[in-house]
Amino acid sequence: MTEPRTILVDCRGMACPGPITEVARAYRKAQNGDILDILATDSAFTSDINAWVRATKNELIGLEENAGVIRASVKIIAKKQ
Amino acid sequence: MRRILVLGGGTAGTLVANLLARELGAEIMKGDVEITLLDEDGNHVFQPNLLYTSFKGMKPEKIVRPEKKLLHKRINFSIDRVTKINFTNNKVITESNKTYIYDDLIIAVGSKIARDEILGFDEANLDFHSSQENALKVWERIQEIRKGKVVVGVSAFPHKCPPAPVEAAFLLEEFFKKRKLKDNVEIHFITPISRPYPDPTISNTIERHFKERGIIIHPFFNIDRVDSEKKIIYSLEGTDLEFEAMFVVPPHKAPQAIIDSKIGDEDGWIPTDKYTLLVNGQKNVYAIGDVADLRTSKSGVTAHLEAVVVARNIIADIRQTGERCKFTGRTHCPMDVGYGKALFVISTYDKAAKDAKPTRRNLLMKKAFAQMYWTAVGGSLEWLFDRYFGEDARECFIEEPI
Repeated sequence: MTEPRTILVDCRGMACPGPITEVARAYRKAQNGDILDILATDSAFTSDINAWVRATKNELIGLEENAGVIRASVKIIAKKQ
Repeated sequence: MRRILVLGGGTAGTLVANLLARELGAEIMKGDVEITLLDEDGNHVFQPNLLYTSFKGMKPEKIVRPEKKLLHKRINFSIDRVTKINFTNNKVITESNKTYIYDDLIIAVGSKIARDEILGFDEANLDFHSSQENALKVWERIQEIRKGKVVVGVSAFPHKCPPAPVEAAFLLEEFFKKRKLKDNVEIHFITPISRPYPDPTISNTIERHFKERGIIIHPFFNIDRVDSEKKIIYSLEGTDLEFEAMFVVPPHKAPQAIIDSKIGDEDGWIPTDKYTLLVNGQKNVYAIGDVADLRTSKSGVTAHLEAVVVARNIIADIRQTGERCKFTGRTHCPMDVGYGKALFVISTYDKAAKDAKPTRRNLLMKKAFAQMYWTAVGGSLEWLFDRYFGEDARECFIEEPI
């Protein structure tokens, strides 16, 4: 078991479903305790990440929008190891 | 002598080479231009029809032709796998240890199935998406199914032919219904995202039809591993799915030569300008078709439209006409929903797809496109496609002299 990491998932400029598929890709490599720090500009991303967190039972610890960039922080807690 | 080198003999590579050879006849005859196309196996498969081999029993030999027969006689053609591309020296090296020097390079090597990406996937899954042999195995397998869960869908994005997983679900439902097995066979559709199709409008239409036909959707289902003996798919999200048969589109990545040459991203998709189709940072290298990292569909029609843009820009550059064309990201993906009907997913970079109703006319058009394919890839039907797509496929203009 390695130390928890913060994994940057930069999806700026990607259109739907780019950001949420990048999240799934990062999730494949992540471990419980890791934080996914996701940046996106696609407006559909806010609803997608909320739905993804609900479906996967991980924890959304931050969601904000600044100058057209959505930043979501997700703590991975529900992954089967 | 201007050396134009095309890598890959799929839709994009074959069409761009043929368009250049047809238009630049005089320059080629004079020895001012040379066109070479390299292909790894010399066979050209009309991939959209793999779906019909898999789920309708179309004979696989009907969907393949020798690449050489599709190419204009002015094109130099070799069957040789590319192993390394070097932008700095304008060089391409092949498996047979030949070196090709280019002035213009068009990379159209397509995508590959990443078989080992998911543990157990390849042992359990039958893939209707990558070869005639596999498609035929799917057709043989579905004859044996009498009951249980049949799982179709998407393992990862991006993949070629976006409608294909959905079409597989629709055609399987039709198959089992016609054989009166519908009460015993459940069709389950898995997808890594929240809906069955990336475009939300088209997705709504699909969800409606899936519901009517009893196809069960599993959103946010990312395959972690597959146990082929117990016949269980385990997801990263913690849900497990038992299956009788599994026909899921595998993960894709770019061919190994692209990854080895370090000219793509982590999976090998080449960063490409979405309008000019020039590889980012390059003035004489284009990426078209599946291998480009464009935010449009990895499909035959899109590859076709990209090939035309690149051919016109190279021709304009050679003849110094000042014309410049920009690709619009146009898609035109037919989606067979079964029972003789289809819809088209039509969009551009700037225009999302509109809601589309499945009709018999659309399926006839899909079949007509398929019939025309072998002629179209030769480049002689552009007058027809120009009329059909119009300015929606590209924006062309004359560049003002500075």
